[in-house]
Amino acid sequence: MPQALARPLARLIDELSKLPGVGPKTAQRLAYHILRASPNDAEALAAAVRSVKTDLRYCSVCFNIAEADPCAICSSDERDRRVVCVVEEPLDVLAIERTGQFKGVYHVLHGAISPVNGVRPDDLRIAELVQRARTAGVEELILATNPNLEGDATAMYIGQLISQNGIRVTRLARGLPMGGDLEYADEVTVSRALEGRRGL
Amino acid sequence: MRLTAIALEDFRSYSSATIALAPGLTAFIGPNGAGKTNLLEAVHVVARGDSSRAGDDAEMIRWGASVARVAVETASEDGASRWLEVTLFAPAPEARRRSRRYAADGAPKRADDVLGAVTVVAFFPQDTDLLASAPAARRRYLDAMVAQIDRAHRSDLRAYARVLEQRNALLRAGRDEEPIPESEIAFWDSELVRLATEISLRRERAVAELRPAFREGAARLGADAGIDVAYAGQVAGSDPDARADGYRRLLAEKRDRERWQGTTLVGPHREDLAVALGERPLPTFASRGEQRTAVLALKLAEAQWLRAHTGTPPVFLLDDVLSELDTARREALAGALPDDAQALLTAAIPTSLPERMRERATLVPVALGAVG
Ligand SMILES: [Zn+2]
Repeated sequence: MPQALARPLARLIDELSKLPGVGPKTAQRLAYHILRASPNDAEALAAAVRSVKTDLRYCSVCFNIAEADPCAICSSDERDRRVVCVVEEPLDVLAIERTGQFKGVYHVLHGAISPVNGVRPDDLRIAELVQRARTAGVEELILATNPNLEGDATAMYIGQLISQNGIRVTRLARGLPMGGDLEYADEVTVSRALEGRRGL
Repeated sequence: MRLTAIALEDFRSYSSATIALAPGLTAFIGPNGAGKTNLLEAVHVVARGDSSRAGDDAEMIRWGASVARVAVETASEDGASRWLEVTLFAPAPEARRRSRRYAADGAPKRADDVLGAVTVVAFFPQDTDLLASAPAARRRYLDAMVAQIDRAHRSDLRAYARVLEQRNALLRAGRDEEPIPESEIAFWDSELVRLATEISLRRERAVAELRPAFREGAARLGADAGIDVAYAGQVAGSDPDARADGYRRLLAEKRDRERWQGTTLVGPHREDLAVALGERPLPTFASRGEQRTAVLALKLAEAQWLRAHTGTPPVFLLDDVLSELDTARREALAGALPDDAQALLTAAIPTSLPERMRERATLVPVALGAVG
Protein backbone atom coordinates (compact mmCIF):
# COMPACT_ATOMS: atom_id res chain seq x y z
CA MET A 1 0.00 0.00 0.00
CA PRO A 2 1.43 3.39 -0.96
CA GLN A 3 2.09 5.76 1.94
CA ALA A 4 -0.68 8.41 1.76
CA LEU A 5 1.17 10.79 4.07
CA ALA A 6 4.87 11.52 4.06
CA ARG A 7 6.32 9.63 6.98
CA PRO A 8 7.64 12.65 9.00
CA LEU A 9 4.26 14.36 8.81
CA ALA A 10 2.43 11.20 9.87
CA ARG A 11 4.80 10.89 12.81
CA LEU A 12 4.17 14.49 13.91
CA ILE A 13 0.37 14.00 13.72
CA ASP A 14 0.74 10.80 15.69
CA GLU A 15 2.76 12.48 18.46
CA LEU A 16 0.49 15.53 18.67
CA SER A 17 -2.62 13.39 19.00
CA LYS A 18 -1.17 11.87 22.19
CA LEU A 19 -1.56 15.27 23.93
CA PRO A 20 -4.54 15.64 26.27
CA GLY A 21 -7.56 17.22 24.61
CA VAL A 22 -6.11 16.87 21.09
CA GLY A 23 -8.12 14.65 18.76
CA PRO A 24 -6.96 13.39 15.33
CA LYS A 25 -8.54 16.38 13.52
CA THR A 26 -6.82 18.94 15.73
CA ALA A 27 -3.54 17.03 15.50
CA GLN A 28 -3.70 17.25 11.70
CA ARG A 29 -4.42 20.97 11.78
CA LEU A 30 -1.55 21.61 14.20
CA ALA A 31 0.83 19.46 12.14
CA TYR A 32 0.06 21.37 8.93
CA HIS A 33 0.45 24.63 10.81
CA ILE A 34 3.91 23.59 11.97
CA LEU A 35 4.75 22.40 8.46
CA ARG A 36 3.97 25.84 7.06
CA ALA A 37 5.69 27.74 9.90
CA SER A 38 9.05 29.43 9.38
CA PRO A 39 12.09 27.25 10.11
CA ASN A 40 12.85 29.52 13.11
CA ASP A 41 9.42 29.09 14.68
CA ALA A 42 9.42 25.35 14.15
CA GLU A 43 12.92 25.08 15.63
CA ALA A 44 11.90 27.19 18.65
CA LEU A 45 8.99 24.84 19.36
CA ALA A 46 11.19 21.77 19.08
CA ALA A 47 13.81 23.37 21.33
CA ALA A 48 11.19 24.30 23.94
CA VAL A 49 9.89 20.74 24.03
CA ARG A 50 13.43 19.33 24.35
CA SER A 51 14.32 21.89 27.00
CA VAL A 52 11.53 20.98 29.46
CA LYS A 53 12.93 17.47 29.59
CA THR A 54 16.66 18.21 29.59
CA ASP A 55 16.88 21.54 31.40
CA LEU A 56 14.34 20.99 34.17
CA ARG A 57 14.90 18.99 37.29
CA TYR A 58 13.64 18.70 40.84
CA CYS A 59 15.36 20.95 43.33
CA SER A 60 16.96 18.53 45.79
CA VAL A 61 16.12 20.86 48.70
CA CYS A 62 12.47 21.84 48.11
CA PHE A 63 11.50 19.46 45.24
CA ASN A 64 10.03 22.25 43.20
CA ILE A 65 10.55 21.96 39.44
CA ALA A 66 13.50 24.20 38.56
CA GLU A 67 16.24 24.92 36.07
CA ALA A 68 19.02 24.68 38.60
CA ASP A 69 19.59 22.56 41.65
CA PRO A 70 19.20 24.07 44.19
CA CYS A 71 16.47 26.22 42.68
CA ALA A 72 16.51 30.03 42.51
CA ILE A 73 14.46 30.36 45.69
CA CYS A 74 16.49 27.88 47.74
CA SER A 75 19.78 29.49 46.69
CA SER A 76 18.67 33.10 47.14
CA ASP A 77 20.23 35.18 49.95
CA GLU A 78 17.01 37.16 50.31
CA ARG A 79 14.96 34.19 51.51
CA ASP A 80 14.53 33.23 55.13
CA ARG A 81 15.39 29.53 55.41
CA ARG A 82 13.95 29.32 58.91
CA VAL A 83 10.39 29.47 57.56
CA VAL A 84 9.29 26.64 55.24
CA CYS A 85 5.94 26.72 53.46
CA VAL A 86 4.73 23.19 52.62
CA VAL A 87 2.54 22.92 49.50
CA GLU A 88 1.02 20.12 47.43
CA GLU A 89 2.04 21.17 43.90
CA PRO A 90 4.54 23.43 42.09
CA LEU A 91 1.61 25.62 40.98
CA ASP A 92 0.88 26.37 44.64
CA VAL A 93 4.36 27.90 44.95
CA LEU A 94 3.37 30.23 42.13
CA ALA A 95 0.14 31.17 43.90
CA ILE A 96 2.02 32.16 47.05
CA GLU A 97 4.85 33.90 45.17
CA ARG A 98 2.25 36.05 43.39
CA THR A 99 1.35 37.64 46.72
CA GLY A 100 4.93 38.95 47.03
CA GLN A 101 4.50 38.61 50.80
CA PHE A 102 6.23 35.41 51.67
CA LYS A 103 9.99 35.64 52.25
CA GLY A 104 10.62 32.08 53.39
CA VAL A 105 11.32 28.94 51.36
CA TYR A 106 9.14 26.07 50.15
CA HIS A 107 8.73 22.33 50.25
CA VAL A 108 6.71 20.69 47.48
CA LEU A 109 5.07 17.38 48.44
CA HIS A 110 3.83 16.48 44.94
CA GLY A 111 0.34 15.50 46.04
CA ALA A 112 -1.79 14.90 49.11
CA ILE A 113 -2.62 11.78 51.09
CA SER A 114 -5.56 9.96 49.50
CA PRO A 115 -5.81 6.19 50.11
CA VAL A 116 -8.65 5.96 47.57
CA ASN A 117 -6.21 7.07 44.88
CA GLY A 118 -3.46 4.91 46.31
CA VAL A 119 -1.51 7.91 47.64
CA ARG A 120 0.09 7.11 51.01
CA PRO A 121 2.65 9.19 52.93
CA ASP A 122 5.55 7.31 51.35
CA ASP A 123 4.40 8.39 47.90
CA LEU A 124 4.95 12.04 48.84
CA ARG A 125 8.10 14.01 49.73
CA ILE A 126 7.25 13.76 53.44
CA ALA A 127 10.29 11.80 54.64
CA GLU A 128 12.48 14.42 52.94
CA LEU A 129 10.58 17.17 54.74
CA VAL A 130 11.09 15.52 58.13
CA GLN A 131 14.79 15.12 57.37
CA ARG A 132 15.01 18.75 56.29
CA ALA A 133 13.24 19.98 59.42
CA ARG A 134 15.59 18.00 61.61
CA THR A 135 18.82 19.34 60.18
CA ALA A 136 18.50 22.72 58.58
CA GLY A 137 17.67 25.14 61.41
CA VAL A 138 14.01 25.35 60.45
CA GLU A 139 11.90 27.28 63.01
CA GLU A 140 8.46 27.27 61.43
CA LEU A 141 6.59 24.98 59.05
CA ILE A 142 3.56 26.55 57.38
CA LEU A 143 1.31 23.74 56.15
CA ALA A 144 -0.32 25.20 53.06
CA THR A 145 -1.92 22.05 51.71
CA ASN A 146 -5.36 22.54 50.14
CA PRO A 147 -8.32 23.21 52.46
CA ASN A 148 -10.06 19.90 51.75
CA LEU A 149 -10.20 16.48 53.37
CA GLU A 150 -7.03 15.19 51.71
CA GLY A 151 -5.13 18.43 52.37
CA ASP A 152 -6.17 18.30 56.03
CA ALA A 153 -5.14 14.65 56.31
CA THR A 154 -1.72 15.52 54.90
CA ALA A 155 -1.28 18.52 57.18
CA MET A 156 -2.24 16.57 60.29
CA TYR A 157 0.03 13.68 59.37
CA ILE A 158 3.01 15.99 58.93
CA GLY A 159 2.05 17.90 62.07
CA GLN A 160 2.26 14.83 64.26
CA LEU A 161 5.61 13.79 62.77
CA ILE A 162 7.17 17.21 63.33
CA SER A 163 5.57 18.29 66.59
CA GLN A 164 8.24 16.77 68.85
CA ASN A 165 11.08 18.68 67.22
CA GLY A 166 10.47 22.07 68.88
CA ILE A 167 9.42 23.55 65.53
CA ARG A 168 6.39 25.83 65.27
CA VAL A 169 3.86 24.14 62.98
CA THR A 170 1.12 26.34 61.54
CA ARG A 171 -1.78 25.88 59.14
CA LEU A 172 -3.14 28.45 56.71
CA ALA A 173 -6.18 30.34 58.02
CA ARG A 174 -9.60 29.26 56.84
CA GLY A 175 -9.97 32.23 54.51
CA LEU A 176 -9.68 29.93 51.52
CA PRO A 177 -12.96 28.52 50.31
CA MET A 178 -13.36 25.04 51.81
CA GLY A 179 -12.69 22.43 49.18
CA GLY A 180 -11.04 25.02 46.92
CA ASP A 181 -7.49 24.76 45.67
CA LEU A 182 -4.74 27.14 46.62
CA GLU A 183 -3.68 27.56 43.01
CA TYR A 184 -7.07 29.02 42.03
CA ALA A 185 -7.33 31.48 44.91
CA ASP A 186 -6.65 35.18 44.30
CA GLU A 187 -3.68 37.02 45.82
CA VAL A 188 -5.63 38.85 48.52
CA THR A 189 -7.20 35.62 49.74
CA VAL A 190 -3.85 33.81 49.82
CA SER A 191 -2.19 36.76 51.64
CA ARG A 192 -4.92 36.78 54.25
CA ALA A 193 -4.71 33.02 54.72
CA LEU A 194 -0.93 33.34 55.24
CA GLU A 195 -1.24 36.22 57.71
CA GLY A 196 -3.92 34.48 59.72
CA ARG A 197 -2.10 31.15 60.01
CA ARG A 198 -2.51 29.40 63.33
CA GLY A 199 -0.72 26.75 65.35
CA LEU A 200 -1.85 23.27 64.42
CA MET B 1 -46.32 28.15 53.35
CA ARG B 2 -48.54 26.33 50.90
CA LEU B 3 -48.37 25.16 47.30
CA THR B 4 -50.50 27.05 44.81
CA ALA B 5 -49.55 25.29 41.56
CA ILE B 6 -47.56 22.50 39.94
CA ALA B 7 -46.10 22.96 36.45
CA LEU B 8 -44.70 20.07 34.43
CA GLU B 9 -42.92 19.82 31.12
CA ASP B 10 -42.08 16.42 29.63
CA PHE B 11 -42.30 14.91 33.09
CA ARG B 12 -43.47 11.26 33.07
CA SER B 13 -46.78 11.10 31.18
CA TYR B 14 -47.19 14.90 30.99
CA SER B 15 -45.97 16.80 27.94
CA SER B 16 -47.05 20.10 29.42
CA ALA B 17 -49.41 20.83 32.29
CA THR B 18 -50.07 23.45 34.92
CA ILE B 19 -52.28 22.45 37.82
CA ALA B 20 -53.60 25.04 40.24
CA LEU B 21 -53.84 23.85 43.84
CA ALA B 22 -56.46 24.90 46.33
CA PRO B 23 -55.68 25.26 50.03
CA GLY B 24 -56.41 22.29 52.27
CA LEU B 25 -57.12 18.88 50.80
CA THR B 26 -56.78 18.11 47.12
CA ALA B 27 -57.68 14.64 45.92
CA PHE B 28 -56.53 13.54 42.46
CA ILE B 29 -59.08 10.99 41.31
CA GLY B 30 -58.53 8.66 38.38
CA PRO B 31 -57.82 5.10 37.27
CA ASN B 32 -54.44 3.45 37.79
CA GLY B 33 -51.86 4.56 35.23
CA ALA B 34 -53.58 7.89 34.63
CA GLY B 35 -50.66 9.80 36.14
CA LYS B 36 -51.93 10.75 39.60
CA THR B 37 -48.80 9.51 41.35
CA ASN B 38 -46.62 11.51 38.93
CA LEU B 39 -48.05 14.73 40.37
CA LEU B 40 -47.07 13.76 43.91
CA GLU B 41 -43.69 12.55 42.73
CA ALA B 42 -43.08 15.92 41.05
CA VAL B 43 -43.71 17.79 44.31
CA HIS B 44 -41.43 15.34 46.12
CA VAL B 45 -38.59 15.96 43.65
CA VAL B 46 -38.72 19.74 44.14
CA ALA B 47 -39.13 19.46 47.92
CA ARG B 48 -36.59 16.79 48.77
CA GLY B 49 -34.55 16.21 45.64
CA ASP B 50 -35.20 12.51 45.35
CA SER B 51 -38.02 10.73 43.63
CA SER B 52 -40.24 8.38 45.55
CA ARG B 53 -39.59 5.61 43.03
CA ALA B 54 -37.26 6.53 40.12
CA GLY B 55 -33.70 5.30 40.51
CA ASP B 56 -32.54 7.58 37.73
CA ASP B 57 -33.63 10.99 36.48
CA ALA B 58 -34.00 9.58 32.97
CA GLU B 59 -36.91 7.45 34.19
CA MET B 60 -38.86 10.60 35.03
CA ILE B 61 -38.46 12.16 31.59
CA ARG B 62 -41.25 11.66 29.07
CA TRP B 63 -40.48 9.08 26.39
CA GLY B 64 -38.75 10.76 23.44
CA ALA B 65 -37.79 13.93 25.35
CA SER B 66 -34.33 14.61 26.77
CA VAL B 67 -35.17 17.32 29.30
CA ALA B 68 -37.95 17.55 31.88
CA ARG B 69 -38.92 20.48 34.03
CA VAL B 70 -40.77 20.32 37.31
CA ALA B 71 -41.85 23.42 39.18
CA VAL B 72 -44.06 24.23 42.13
CA GLU B 73 -45.42 27.62 43.08
CA THR B 74 -45.32 28.40 46.77
CA ALA B 75 -47.14 31.10 48.68
CA SER B 76 -45.91 32.21 52.07
CA GLU B 77 -48.10 33.60 54.86
CA ASP B 78 -47.40 37.17 53.83
CA GLY B 79 -48.70 36.39 50.33
CA ALA B 80 -45.34 36.39 48.54
CA SER B 81 -45.22 33.74 45.85
CA ARG B 82 -42.23 31.96 44.38
CA TRP B 83 -41.68 29.36 41.67
CA LEU B 84 -39.17 26.65 42.60
CA GLU B 85 -37.92 24.65 39.65
CA VAL B 86 -35.83 21.57 38.93
CA THR B 87 -34.63 20.63 35.43
CA LEU B 88 -33.80 16.98 34.78
CA PHE B 89 -31.68 15.68 31.93
CA ALA B 90 -31.59 12.33 30.20
CA PRO B 91 -28.02 11.60 29.13
CA ALA B 92 -27.72 11.20 25.34
CA PRO B 93 -25.84 8.05 24.34
CA GLU B 94 -22.05 8.63 24.48
CA ALA B 95 -22.57 12.12 25.93
CA ARG B 96 -21.44 13.28 29.32
CA ARG B 97 -24.05 13.22 32.10
CA ARG B 98 -25.57 16.61 32.70
CA SER B 99 -26.37 17.36 36.27
CA ARG B 100 -29.69 18.82 37.33
CA ARG B 101 -30.34 22.53 37.31
CA TYR B 102 -32.23 24.40 39.99
CA ALA B 103 -33.96 27.75 39.79
CA ALA B 104 -36.20 30.06 41.81
CA ASP B 105 -38.42 32.44 39.85
CA GLY B 106 -36.36 31.65 36.76
CA ALA B 107 -33.02 32.62 38.31
CA PRO B 108 -30.42 29.83 38.62
CA LYS B 109 -29.86 28.67 42.21
CA ARG B 110 -27.79 26.10 44.03
CA ALA B 111 -29.51 22.84 44.97
CA ASP B 112 -29.40 23.78 48.66
CA ASP B 113 -31.34 26.99 47.96
CA VAL B 114 -34.24 25.14 46.35
CA LEU B 115 -34.41 21.76 48.10
CA GLY B 116 -35.87 21.98 51.57
CA ALA B 117 -37.68 25.26 50.87
CA VAL B 118 -40.92 23.23 50.86
CA THR B 119 -41.23 20.67 53.63
CA VAL B 120 -43.24 17.57 52.79
CA VAL B 121 -44.21 14.35 54.49
CA ALA B 122 -44.93 11.66 51.96
CA PHE B 123 -46.50 8.25 52.04
CA PHE B 124 -46.19 6.18 48.88
CA PRO B 125 -47.30 2.53 48.72
CA GLN B 126 -43.70 1.25 48.73
CA ASP B 127 -43.11 3.04 52.07
CA THR B 128 -44.96 0.14 53.66
CA ASP B 129 -41.73 -1.83 53.19
CA LEU B 130 -39.69 0.64 55.25
CA LEU B 131 -39.61 -1.45 58.42
CA ALA B 132 -38.87 -4.73 56.66
CA SER B 133 -36.16 -3.20 54.44
CA ALA B 134 -32.42 -3.20 55.09
CA PRO B 135 -31.29 -0.64 57.71
CA ALA B 136 -29.85 1.62 54.96
CA ALA B 137 -33.39 2.52 53.85
CA ARG B 138 -34.35 3.64 57.37
CA ARG B 139 -31.11 5.61 57.75
CA ARG B 140 -31.89 7.36 54.45
CA TYR B 141 -35.40 8.12 55.65
CA LEU B 142 -34.18 9.50 58.97
CA ASP B 143 -31.40 11.55 57.35
CA ALA B 144 -33.76 13.07 54.78
CA MET B 145 -36.09 14.02 57.64
CA VAL B 146 -33.35 15.63 59.73
CA ALA B 147 -31.86 17.39 56.69
CA GLN B 148 -35.19 19.18 56.17
CA ILE B 149 -34.60 21.24 59.27
CA ASP B 150 -30.80 21.14 59.49
CA ARG B 151 -28.63 21.82 56.46
CA ALA B 152 -25.46 20.97 58.37
CA HIS B 153 -26.73 17.40 58.50
CA ARG B 154 -26.63 17.12 54.71
CA SER B 155 -23.07 18.46 54.44
CA ASP B 156 -21.91 16.31 57.37
CA LEU B 157 -23.31 13.23 55.63
CA ARG B 158 -21.41 14.09 52.46
CA ALA B 159 -18.18 14.62 54.42
CA TYR B 160 -18.75 11.42 56.37
CA ALA B 161 -19.18 9.41 53.16
CA ARG B 162 -15.83 10.69 51.90
CA VAL B 163 -14.08 9.92 55.18
CA LEU B 164 -15.51 6.39 55.12
CA GLU B 165 -14.36 5.89 51.54
CA GLN B 166 -10.81 6.99 52.37
CA ARG B 167 -10.63 5.08 55.63
CA ASN B 168 -11.92 1.88 54.01
CA ALA B 169 -9.37 2.21 51.21
CA LEU B 170 -6.64 2.55 53.83
CA LEU B 171 -7.88 -0.46 55.82
CA ARG B 172 -8.00 -2.54 52.61
CA ALA B 173 -4.46 -1.50 51.71
CA GLY B 174 -3.40 -2.50 55.23
CA ARG B 175 -5.00 -5.89 54.86
CA ASP B 176 -3.54 -6.57 51.41
CA GLU B 177 -0.10 -5.01 51.94
CA GLU B 178 1.85 -3.86 55.00
CA PRO B 179 -0.13 -3.19 58.21
CA ILE B 180 -1.11 0.47 58.60
CA PRO B 181 0.79 2.36 61.29
CA GLU B 182 -1.31 4.18 63.93
CA SER B 183 0.11 7.53 62.80
CA GLU B 184 -1.40 7.04 59.35
CA ILE B 185 -4.92 6.13 60.41
CA ALA B 186 -5.13 8.68 63.26
CA PHE B 187 -6.53 11.51 61.09
CA TRP B 188 -9.26 9.31 59.61
CA ASP B 189 -10.19 8.07 63.09
CA SER B 190 -10.52 11.59 64.45
CA GLU B 191 -12.63 12.77 61.47
CA LEU B 192 -14.77 9.65 61.74
CA VAL B 193 -15.41 10.27 65.45
CA ARG B 194 -16.12 13.98 64.94
CA LEU B 195 -18.69 13.43 62.16
CA ALA B 196 -20.16 10.25 63.69
CA THR B 197 -20.88 12.17 66.90
CA GLU B 198 -22.66 15.00 65.05
CA ILE B 199 -24.70 12.74 62.75
CA SER B 200 -25.64 10.17 65.36
CA LEU B 201 -26.66 12.76 67.99
CA ARG B 202 -28.85 14.65 65.51
CA ARG B 203 -30.60 11.45 64.50
CA GLU B 204 -31.05 10.30 68.08
CA ARG B 205 -32.41 13.66 69.19
CA ALA B 206 -34.90 13.69 66.31
CA VAL B 207 -36.17 10.19 67.15
CA ALA B 208 -36.51 11.06 70.82
CA GLU B 209 -38.48 14.17 69.89
CA LEU B 210 -40.92 12.38 67.61
CA ARG B 211 -41.40 9.37 69.90
CA PRO B 212 -44.39 10.70 71.90
CA ALA B 213 -46.20 11.71 68.71
CA PHE B 214 -45.42 8.33 67.19
CA ARG B 215 -46.90 6.43 70.13
CA GLU B 216 -49.94 8.65 70.15
CA GLY B 217 -50.46 8.29 66.39
CA ALA B 218 -49.95 4.53 66.49
CA ALA B 219 -52.59 4.21 69.23
CA ARG B 220 -54.96 6.38 67.25
CA LEU B 221 -54.51 4.18 64.18
CA GLY B 222 -55.25 1.10 66.27
CA ALA B 223 -51.74 -0.32 66.65
CA ASP B 224 -50.65 -2.40 69.63
CA ALA B 225 -50.19 -0.18 72.68
CA GLY B 226 -46.65 -1.41 73.34
CA ILE B 227 -45.26 -0.27 70.00
CA ASP B 228 -42.26 2.02 70.30
CA VAL B 229 -39.55 3.72 68.28
CA ALA B 230 -35.91 4.29 69.20
CA TYR B 231 -32.61 5.16 67.62
CA ALA B 232 -30.36 2.11 67.72
CA GLY B 233 -26.97 3.74 68.06
CA GLN B 234 -23.68 1.94 68.65
CA VAL B 235 -22.75 4.10 71.62
CA ALA B 236 -24.76 5.86 74.31
CA GLY B 237 -24.52 9.33 75.75
CA SER B 238 -26.41 12.47 74.79
CA ASP B 239 -23.43 14.66 75.65
CA PRO B 240 -21.15 15.13 72.60
CA ASP B 241 -17.95 14.46 74.55
CA ALA B 242 -19.29 11.26 76.07
CA ARG B 243 -20.52 10.15 72.67
CA ALA B 244 -17.17 10.86 71.01
CA ASP B 245 -15.43 8.94 73.79
CA GLY B 246 -17.77 6.03 73.17
CA TYR B 247 -16.89 5.95 69.46
CA ARG B 248 -13.18 6.16 70.26
CA ARG B 249 -13.45 3.24 72.68
CA LEU B 250 -15.42 1.19 70.17
CA LEU B 251 -12.85 1.92 67.46
CA ALA B 252 -10.09 0.63 69.75
CA GLU B 253 -12.16 -2.44 70.54
CA LYS B 254 -12.90 -3.25 66.89
CA ARG B 255 -9.50 -2.27 65.53
CA ASP B 256 -8.33 -5.85 64.91
CA ARG B 257 -11.57 -6.85 63.23
CA GLU B 258 -11.60 -3.73 61.09
CA ARG B 259 -8.05 -4.42 59.95
CA TRP B 260 -8.85 -8.02 59.25
CA GLN B 261 -12.06 -7.27 57.34
CA GLY B 262 -10.62 -4.21 55.64
CA THR B 263 -13.69 -2.07 56.34
CA THR B 264 -15.03 0.42 58.88
CA LEU B 265 -17.32 -1.21 61.43
CA VAL B 266 -17.89 1.78 63.71
CA GLY B 267 -20.10 4.77 62.97
CA PRO B 268 -23.61 5.92 62.04
CA HIS B 269 -23.49 3.90 58.80
CA ARG B 270 -24.02 0.87 61.05
CA GLU B 271 -26.85 2.35 63.14
CA ASP B 272 -30.60 2.03 62.66
CA LEU B 273 -34.05 3.38 63.35
CA ALA B 274 -35.77 0.64 65.31
CA VAL B 275 -39.52 0.17 65.55
CA ALA B 276 -40.34 -2.59 68.00
CA LEU B 277 -42.94 -4.12 70.22
CA GLY B 278 -41.19 -4.88 73.46
CA GLU B 279 -37.99 -6.65 72.58
CA ARG B 280 -39.11 -7.75 69.14
CA PRO B 281 -38.47 -5.71 66.00
CA LEU B 282 -41.84 -5.13 64.34
CA PRO B 283 -41.25 -6.65 60.89
CA THR B 284 -40.32 -10.03 62.39
CA PHE B 285 -43.94 -10.70 63.35
CA ALA B 286 -46.25 -7.90 62.17
CA SER B 287 -48.52 -8.27 59.12
CA ARG B 288 -48.19 -5.90 56.19
CA GLY B 289 -51.23 -4.04 57.45
CA GLU B 290 -49.66 -3.59 60.88
CA GLN B 291 -46.41 -2.46 59.31
CA ARG B 292 -48.29 0.06 57.18
CA THR B 293 -50.00 1.42 60.28
CA ALA B 294 -46.65 1.80 62.05
CA VAL B 295 -45.09 3.62 59.09
CA LEU B 296 -48.13 5.92 58.84
CA ALA B 297 -47.78 6.70 62.53
CA LEU B 298 -44.10 7.46 61.94
CA LYS B 299 -44.96 9.85 59.10
CA LEU B 300 -47.65 11.61 61.11
CA ALA B 301 -45.14 12.02 63.94
CA GLU B 302 -42.60 13.34 61.45
CA ALA B 303 -45.14 15.95 60.37
CA GLN B 304 -45.63 17.15 63.94
CA TRP B 305 -41.90 17.20 64.44
CA LEU B 306 -41.36 19.27 61.30
CA ARG B 307 -44.07 21.67 62.38
CA ALA B 308 -42.48 22.06 65.81
CA HIS B 309 -39.17 22.99 64.16
CA THR B 310 -40.30 25.10 61.21
CA GLY B 311 -43.47 26.68 62.63
CA THR B 312 -45.65 25.57 59.71
CA PRO B 313 -47.20 22.19 58.94
CA PRO B 314 -45.57 20.29 56.06
CA VAL B 315 -47.45 19.45 52.87
CA PHE B 316 -48.76 15.90 53.02
CA LEU B 317 -48.35 13.69 49.94
CA LEU B 318 -50.52 10.60 50.34
CA ASP B 319 -50.39 8.23 47.40
CA ASP B 320 -53.13 5.64 47.24
CA VAL B 321 -52.95 5.11 50.97
CA LEU B 322 -56.69 5.11 51.69
CA SER B 323 -57.59 2.09 49.54
CA GLU B 324 -55.25 -0.06 51.63
CA LEU B 325 -56.80 0.93 54.96
CA ASP B 326 -59.98 -0.35 56.59
CA THR B 327 -62.77 2.11 57.39
CA ALA B 328 -61.72 2.72 60.98
CA ARG B 329 -58.14 3.51 59.99
CA ARG B 330 -59.27 5.77 57.14
CA GLU B 331 -61.32 7.75 59.62
CA ALA B 332 -58.39 7.83 62.04
CA LEU B 333 -56.03 9.08 59.34
CA ALA B 334 -58.54 11.73 58.24
CA GLY B 335 -58.76 12.86 61.86
CA ALA B 336 -55.00 12.92 62.29
CA LEU B 337 -54.36 15.33 59.41
CA PRO B 338 -54.12 18.84 60.87
CA ASP B 339 -57.01 21.10 59.77
CA ASP B 340 -54.69 23.83 58.52
CA ALA B 341 -52.37 21.50 56.62
CA GLN B 342 -52.27 21.15 52.87
CA ALA B 343 -52.55 17.59 51.62
CA LEU B 344 -52.35 16.15 48.12
CA LEU B 345 -53.74 12.66 47.85
CA THR B 346 -54.60 10.19 45.15
CA ALA B 347 -57.46 7.73 44.94
CA ALA B 348 -59.01 5.59 42.20
CA ILE B 349 -62.58 6.49 43.17
CA PRO B 350 -64.00 9.31 45.32
CA THR B 351 -65.77 6.89 47.63
CA SER B 352 -62.48 5.67 49.08
CA LEU B 353 -62.25 9.07 50.76
CA PRO B 354 -63.87 9.08 54.20
CA GLU B 355 -66.95 11.31 54.46
CA ARG B 356 -65.20 14.03 56.48
CA MET B 357 -62.37 14.21 53.94
CA ARG B 358 -64.65 14.25 50.91
CA GLU B 359 -66.60 17.18 52.34
CA ARG B 360 -63.62 19.49 52.53
CA ALA B 361 -61.53 18.15 49.67
CA THR B 362 -61.15 19.65 46.21
CA LEU B 363 -61.65 16.72 43.83
CA VAL B 364 -59.54 16.85 40.67
CA PRO B 365 -60.15 14.21 38.01
CA VAL B 366 -57.02 12.87 36.26
CA ALA B 367 -57.12 10.93 32.98
CA LEU B 368 -54.07 9.83 31.01
CA GLY B 369 -51.72 12.74 31.43
CA ALA B 370 -54.51 15.32 31.54
CA VAL B 371 -55.66 16.99 34.71
CA GLY B 372 -58.94 18.76 35.49
ZN1 LIG C 1 14.38 24.60 45.98
